[in-house]
Amino acid sequence: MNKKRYERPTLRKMNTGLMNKFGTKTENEPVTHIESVSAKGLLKEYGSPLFVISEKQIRRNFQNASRIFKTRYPKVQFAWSYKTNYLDAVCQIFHQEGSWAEVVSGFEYDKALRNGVPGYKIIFNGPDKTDEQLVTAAKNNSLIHIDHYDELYALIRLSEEHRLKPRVAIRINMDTGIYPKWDRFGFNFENGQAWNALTRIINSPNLDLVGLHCHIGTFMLSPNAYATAARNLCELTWSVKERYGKVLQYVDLGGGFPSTNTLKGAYLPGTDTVPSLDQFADAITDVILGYGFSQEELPLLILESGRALIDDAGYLLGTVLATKRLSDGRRATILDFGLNTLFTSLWYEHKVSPAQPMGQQTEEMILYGPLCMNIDVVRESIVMPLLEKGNHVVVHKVGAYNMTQWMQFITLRPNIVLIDVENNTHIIRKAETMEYIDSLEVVPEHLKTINRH
Amino acid sequence: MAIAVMLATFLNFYAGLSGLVAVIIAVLLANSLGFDKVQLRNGVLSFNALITGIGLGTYFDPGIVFFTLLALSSVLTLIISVALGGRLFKYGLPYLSIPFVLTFWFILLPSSLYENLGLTQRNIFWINEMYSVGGNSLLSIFQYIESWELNKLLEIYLRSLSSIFFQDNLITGVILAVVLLLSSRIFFSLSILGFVSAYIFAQFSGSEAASITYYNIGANFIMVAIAIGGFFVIPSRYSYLWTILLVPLTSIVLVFFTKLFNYIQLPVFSLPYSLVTIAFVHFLQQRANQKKLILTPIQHYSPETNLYAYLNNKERLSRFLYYPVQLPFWGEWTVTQGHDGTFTHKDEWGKAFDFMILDDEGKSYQSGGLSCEDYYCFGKPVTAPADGFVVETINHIEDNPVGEVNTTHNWGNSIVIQHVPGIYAQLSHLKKDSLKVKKGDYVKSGDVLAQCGNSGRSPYPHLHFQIQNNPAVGAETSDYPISYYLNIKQKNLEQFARPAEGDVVSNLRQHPLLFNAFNFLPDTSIKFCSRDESGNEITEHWDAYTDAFNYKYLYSRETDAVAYYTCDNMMFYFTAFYGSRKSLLYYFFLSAYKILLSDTPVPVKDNIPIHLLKKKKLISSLNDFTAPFFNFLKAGYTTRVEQINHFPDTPEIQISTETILTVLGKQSPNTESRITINQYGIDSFKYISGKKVVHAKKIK
Repeated sequence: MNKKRYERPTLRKMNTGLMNKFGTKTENEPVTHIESVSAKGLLKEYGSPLFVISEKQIRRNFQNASRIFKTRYPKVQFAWSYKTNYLDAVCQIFHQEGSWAEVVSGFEYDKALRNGVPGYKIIFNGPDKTDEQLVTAAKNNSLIHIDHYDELYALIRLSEEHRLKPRVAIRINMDTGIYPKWDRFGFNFENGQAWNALTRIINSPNLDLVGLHCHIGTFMLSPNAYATAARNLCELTWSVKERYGKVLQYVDLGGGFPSTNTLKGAYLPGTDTVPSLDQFADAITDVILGYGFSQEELPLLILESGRALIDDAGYLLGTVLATKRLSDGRRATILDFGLNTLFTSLWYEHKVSPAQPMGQQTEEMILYGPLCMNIDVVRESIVMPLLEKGNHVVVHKVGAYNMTQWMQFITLRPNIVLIDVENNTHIIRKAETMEYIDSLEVVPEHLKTINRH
Repeated sequence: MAIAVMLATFLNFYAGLSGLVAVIIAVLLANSLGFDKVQLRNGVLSFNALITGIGLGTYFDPGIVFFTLLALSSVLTLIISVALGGRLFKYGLPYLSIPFVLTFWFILLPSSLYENLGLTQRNIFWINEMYSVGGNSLLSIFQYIESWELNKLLEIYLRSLSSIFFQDNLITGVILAVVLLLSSRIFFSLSILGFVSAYIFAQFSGSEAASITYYNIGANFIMVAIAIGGFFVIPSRYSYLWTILLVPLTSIVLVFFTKLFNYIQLPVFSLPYSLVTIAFVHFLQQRANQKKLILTPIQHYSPETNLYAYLNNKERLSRFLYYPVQLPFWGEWTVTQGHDGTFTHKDEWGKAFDFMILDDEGKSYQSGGLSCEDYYCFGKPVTAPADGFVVETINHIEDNPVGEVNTTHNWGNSIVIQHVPGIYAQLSHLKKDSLKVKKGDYVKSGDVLAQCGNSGRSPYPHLHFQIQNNPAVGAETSDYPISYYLNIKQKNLEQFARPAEGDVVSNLRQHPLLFNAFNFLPDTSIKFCSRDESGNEITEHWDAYTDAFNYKYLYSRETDAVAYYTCDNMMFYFTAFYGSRKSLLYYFFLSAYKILLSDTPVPVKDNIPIHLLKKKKLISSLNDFTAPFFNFLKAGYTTRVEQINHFPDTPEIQISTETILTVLGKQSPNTESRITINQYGIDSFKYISGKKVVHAKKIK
């Protein structure tokens, strides 16, 4: 017989109500293994906290999304949204699966090139493109998605100067019935700005208009909004063909498909409320297929989905530093990761599981990070088993944005480990060290010692 | 080699001269009367005049009367040839040397009546004759060869060969044997086989009875062996076996005619050979199906070429008999039941496919699978497998709840499309009210027809697809392949194959840029420019034509080379090449032997007929000997798209191709090519074979 685990005493408010057959059991199932690799072992080997990414899950997600769209529409292309997670290892998994690259800065553009993505498979988005970057992208035959008039004028000027004929599309914003309306990127559809820009491009001998782009928002919960967006892009594509006899090659619906994380303030968990990718795919492909294009003129459908393809492939493993009781009697648990590491805890109520078997008793608590800042809260209120110092926890669905938006603040950034399809582990980004931070710093000669001369 | 043969006939000077004169007369006359140029060029109309001329020259003394008679008999031969050809050619039969035999009889039998025509004695005093032709030196060579201590059999063989030209000497025999060997290893081996067979039969039945003379061995037995063993029939072990049998058969016919014609003092010449060969070819033609002893489909006038082209085309061109049919959906689907499957594809309904969508865990549904909507394939677009008219639709049957089947309306909601008369596609178990087409609509390959459903005898959603011979819903299925599709698990391209149960399959998508580049439209022309080793510019114009049989070909204006091609929506094939092996068209033929017109980077494999490939003479000659039985030489071809983009306005697409020669299982690269394509079509190609590098660029 195993030795019984000691559990500290806890005080709980008495709840009255009807009895039910499920008792008081909560969904705090311990998660001891990630893709059959022991969480405890991972933490022991790579330190705490630790990001873990499952290659199997990424591929599964991609193939799932690919199947969902490609069985509904004959021409589909995914482009991996670099900003979501631009770890080279992650990008390469997507490229191996057939993804192009979608980048929003010169830095990301260079990263994609260095990853071996041919120039013509890179989509260059975003409002920030320098002249130099535009010329490079044009020379590489990349798809340049123009965001504003200033960029359009710059591109016309540059293509004349450098005798280039870049392939371009414009980003279009529109009212798809959702709030907030994303109208800060691209050209507006309803007020005619988009048509104006298209006319200008078609009349520029040095620009080659090849497609249309939109990205209606992020973490979209309404498939209808995509139907509206697709209809508007089709309308423009059709008008360009009618008016100018030019058949546009693609419509890029962007990304924004939600993962199953629970947004802050949501009443029900994301797993229950978020529409399935099938519903989004139906909304989009029904509109395009029904619009009346002939088979040859059906535009290529480009999707820049990021979050929906990677969020649930990422885990954050951490350790309890301490527990304490707050002045109002609530339990607080301090973890060794906080806002600096888990940036998305600002948006989501992340699911957190204990990483070792625990007792049935639970209590409501606040999860704090280790920072000396009041806002460093991982979960404002969560029901967890009775955690103690040294216990491990697993945070789920952290694959998107955390590993690009994290901060080197107060602590150094931890290791990132990839579990491959054969369950081998690989470090894909090493934990930061003092030398790494120092290597970027330059101290003037007179500040090198403490003693002033 | 033609010159060597001509020289051999000129060993009997007047015989050779008469042959030449007779041919010239026949050719000039036929040409001026406007007979078929191709037949003239091939010598079909004039070869009888040649033998007649040589024969007359051998028998009679030259003189004014002789040459007049020669001219007349040349005309007569031509007339008989054309007349016989008019009857026989439409049955695909040759007339062989019958015109010669008839004409020769006409002259020979009454020859004593031509008072001013003298029978020659040159054949008796042949040394004088030889001396007058070539002087002492020729005579000494001749005597030297004649003095060889040859094996008895070899001597008979050589003398028999020479007797085809009405001669009886070793030098002609040697020349003919060497020419035969150099021009065709198969002919040579057949001539020996015919000779040996004749000899053994003569030994067996008595040489008197077998009427074994040099002439009969040469002009009848060896000729039968060559004609049946390798010319009119694709050389194979069966044609060789029949050769052994046909020689004694010819002997029987020969003895009969010899005896018969003896009464009227006529020699039979090569009549038995002609009769037996014609009869046997006609005999073979009557078979319901040709599996062994294949009659040569396209006569290349070389048994090696016939054989290699046949072996290649048998495998390669049979697919053109099928109407291209693609998979009736988008994306990757799994075959859950194939032809003659385990569940319902039985008996008359055996040649059908069931498709479903499975995920990476092999599941066909998500969240429980208790409702149709849980199934991945439910509601997915079903597309037209090929162009055609919708001839039957059913759209009103309810989709079954999962697990139940509707045996009253077995096929459920269905569509039948007529692609061509006699080829119909049926798609069944479609979703209720999802049909987007109605009876009489014309649909294009890939158009959306309906959605996958669960109606009829279908316990869970799936798509049933079959090809049939009549338009009724649920008609007997027909064993028909899918033209091109990807086998996802094996990562390869399947061509005219039938997906098997468990295969994950998807369609290929045509790339417009590639299609435009290789779909050479008839009556267009392209111009390519290259440089030879010494830096001189070579320009070739290739004109695309369509011949009388609707076959398309490229014709190189400068070199007369011709390359036949065919192009369906997904694949470009070169099917045959004739002409100069130094032309740019030849290099392009090898570079673009087969091109997949899709953007999927899968390798496409094929075999090239080895006679069209440049290779080592010795090895290929050895292979010629064994080819009817066993090919130890094989030529493989692989092509692959190297770089491609989804947009038609991509600057360029690169395709790399290679040919590999396999000698007894050992592979060695033979040629390497790279074709560059841009929005204007084929831009350039580079061909590398050993040290030979050809880089040709299109000129606008």
